[in-house]
Amino acid sequence: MFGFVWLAKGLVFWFCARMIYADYNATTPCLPEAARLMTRMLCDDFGNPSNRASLFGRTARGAIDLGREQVARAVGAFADEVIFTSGATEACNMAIFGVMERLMRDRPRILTSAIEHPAVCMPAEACASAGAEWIEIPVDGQGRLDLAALSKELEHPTAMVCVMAANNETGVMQDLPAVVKLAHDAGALVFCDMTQLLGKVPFSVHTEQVDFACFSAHKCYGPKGIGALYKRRGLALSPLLRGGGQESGLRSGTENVPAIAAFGLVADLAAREVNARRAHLQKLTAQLESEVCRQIPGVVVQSAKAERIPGTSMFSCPGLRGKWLSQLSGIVASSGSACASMQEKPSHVLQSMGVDDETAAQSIRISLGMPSTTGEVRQISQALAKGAEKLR
Amino acid sequence: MIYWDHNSTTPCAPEVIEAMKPYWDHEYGNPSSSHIMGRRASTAIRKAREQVANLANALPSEIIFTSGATESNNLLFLGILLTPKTDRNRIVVSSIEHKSILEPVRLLAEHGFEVLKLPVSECGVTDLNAAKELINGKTLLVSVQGANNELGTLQPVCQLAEIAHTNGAYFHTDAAQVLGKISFNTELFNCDFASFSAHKMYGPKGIGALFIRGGAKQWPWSRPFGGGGQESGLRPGTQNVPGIVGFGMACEISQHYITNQNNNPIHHLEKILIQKLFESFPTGHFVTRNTPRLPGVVAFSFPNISADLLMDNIKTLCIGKGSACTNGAISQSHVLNAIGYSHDFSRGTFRVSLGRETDLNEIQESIILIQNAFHDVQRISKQNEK
Repeated sequence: MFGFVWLAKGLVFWFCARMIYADYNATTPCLPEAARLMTRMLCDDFGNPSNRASLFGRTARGAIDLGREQVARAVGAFADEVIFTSGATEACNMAIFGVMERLMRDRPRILTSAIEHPAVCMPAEACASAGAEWIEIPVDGQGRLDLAALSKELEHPTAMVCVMAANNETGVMQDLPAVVKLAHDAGALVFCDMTQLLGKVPFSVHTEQVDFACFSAHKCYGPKGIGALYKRRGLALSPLLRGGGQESGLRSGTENVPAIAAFGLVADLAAREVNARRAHLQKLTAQLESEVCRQIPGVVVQSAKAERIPGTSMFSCPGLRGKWLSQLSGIVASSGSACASMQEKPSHVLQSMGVDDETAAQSIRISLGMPSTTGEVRQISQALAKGAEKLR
Repeated sequence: MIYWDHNSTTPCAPEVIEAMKPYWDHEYGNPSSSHIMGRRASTAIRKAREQVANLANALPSEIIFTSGATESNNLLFLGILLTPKTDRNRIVVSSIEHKSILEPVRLLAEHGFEVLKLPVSECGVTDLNAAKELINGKTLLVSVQGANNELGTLQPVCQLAEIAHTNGAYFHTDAAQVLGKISFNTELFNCDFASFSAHKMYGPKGIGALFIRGGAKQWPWSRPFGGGGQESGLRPGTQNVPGIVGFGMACEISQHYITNQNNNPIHHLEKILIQKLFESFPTGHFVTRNTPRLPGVVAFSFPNISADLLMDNIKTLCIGKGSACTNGAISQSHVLNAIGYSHDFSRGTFRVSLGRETDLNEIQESIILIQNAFHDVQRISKQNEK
């Protein structure tokens, strides 16, 4: 059943776009079931969940409760630990500002890994301009966090440590248990950006013992405009958006009921299918990387020696003349994070890993997803090889 | 089921759904990506931005998409909060603003801003004389909603904007209830900022906008949220492309309703509804009857009966009691409080907000439903007294 749905999706995509999409880390298509559910919630069960007196309102409330339970179960949390937001960026802002505001007096210090998403770096920078100390913890050549440096920085009272579970550009995964242990021993809270994790590897926020985590629906075949913040039970947080007091007073604004219901659906599916999805992505990534390395001499797969989420490969090809990405015909890929691609700057992730600017600018991220096929992967590797050939 | 709570939220128009569908399905690119899929998504956003701007008579660059009116309001006040304070530190709002204005200004007050609330008349209109007194050279911002969500009463936005501007203050209006219902013109209303919400005007939930005169370049305060720099850095985060497209379409179809405002059947239906309500409940009250209101919004009060009980006894009619956002809590509506309603009186007040799909049959049916429920509730309370 699951194979058939993805196959159908893949076929539709093939005929519609005639381009091979290989940018699933930037965003994913919305599952048809999720889109159907949203359509129903927008047209028929459209009530305002705060209107508890009416059947319309109660139906909407029920849909939110179900969505919350599904998301909570998928990430290994309790339902009351999940706060819906408009996306992962808002969740990052909310966690960082919400914690720092409370701890500004006692522990005015925030540590982030050097390869965080701008949604974490920029709020941290804002805290720094408000008087907190912001330190970026370096990573090694493979993108792994320097635990010795972290431990050294934790000698001073620190409010929170922000580390992403899996990097969006290279896919590198961090040693979370070690980070969490170091941080907790020093009395610091841990915020973990788990946006790229859902549906790719099995995990549980309770097992990882992180204090805060953020998720995004549109990275796992759900709609854009919805995400969630996990907040461990008992932790205090100041709200970012104030008003009608929705989401237990932590996130005001009429709940995006259709998107919450759809997020619940796709999160539930992601958690249940995670092993099949991981196997599919692992197989394709292995094929892609071996084909590319065979066809292009001198190509480097970034973070290859580290543990990575399946489906993400960042290829660098030193010595090319001209823009490698622009030579990829028929392939939709990117040179790094979509959020940074507008600025045309070399990836700060690769820079932090010690890759020189020229090579960083010559890098291509291929991120595969469930609709990707062996045939597509072959075409991608051929296109990469052809593009590299032209620029030599 | 009859739905008469359109001030709380509305169903999505079919055209809106049709417009959104491709963006869930195959046009799913991330608008920040520089590849073809990304460019197609950002083109869709550009078109929607024009549609929203057209309805509000603004420039597309002056529209910043947010997750809703609550976020738009918070964006404004958080910006003020995070900017170094100057001598101008007075914030003036009306006392019947939505919670998403009142809560952020409470935060500003905690941080040393001088927050003043304008009184309202018993008809639910902001007092202009008080405004002239309270808005002075130390005023940074005046924020008054276009129309009240609980009473539907229109506020004197043009005059307030003028008072604010002669004192060198900015003027913001929460237009969540206005956009798409009556004509809203940022030029005419002379506002510097305005908040919009799509789900109040037959668009999807989870999307709204903030109008900034002159665009993001003219934003006078700090940018409170950090991230990938989307929406000119004012509202980072991957844009909700389907939501934005749906909002744009909702604005486009609203043009039709607004230009044909005089022929809008809702005025006629409202008249019949009020007449029938008074016929059935001669002791009822409708204080804002003669105040200019949003079409189809009636806040009707029964003396000595609980609107909650009444609503519990009408299973097939959905009406509101005050703002949906305060429905969860058993507290008295701050709006009814501000217009001088006693506790007993506001307890018996319910709000009807008619919509585009309301027809005469619904009115006839609902009156009977309300009548039956009224008698049931009266009987129950009499039994309880015994």
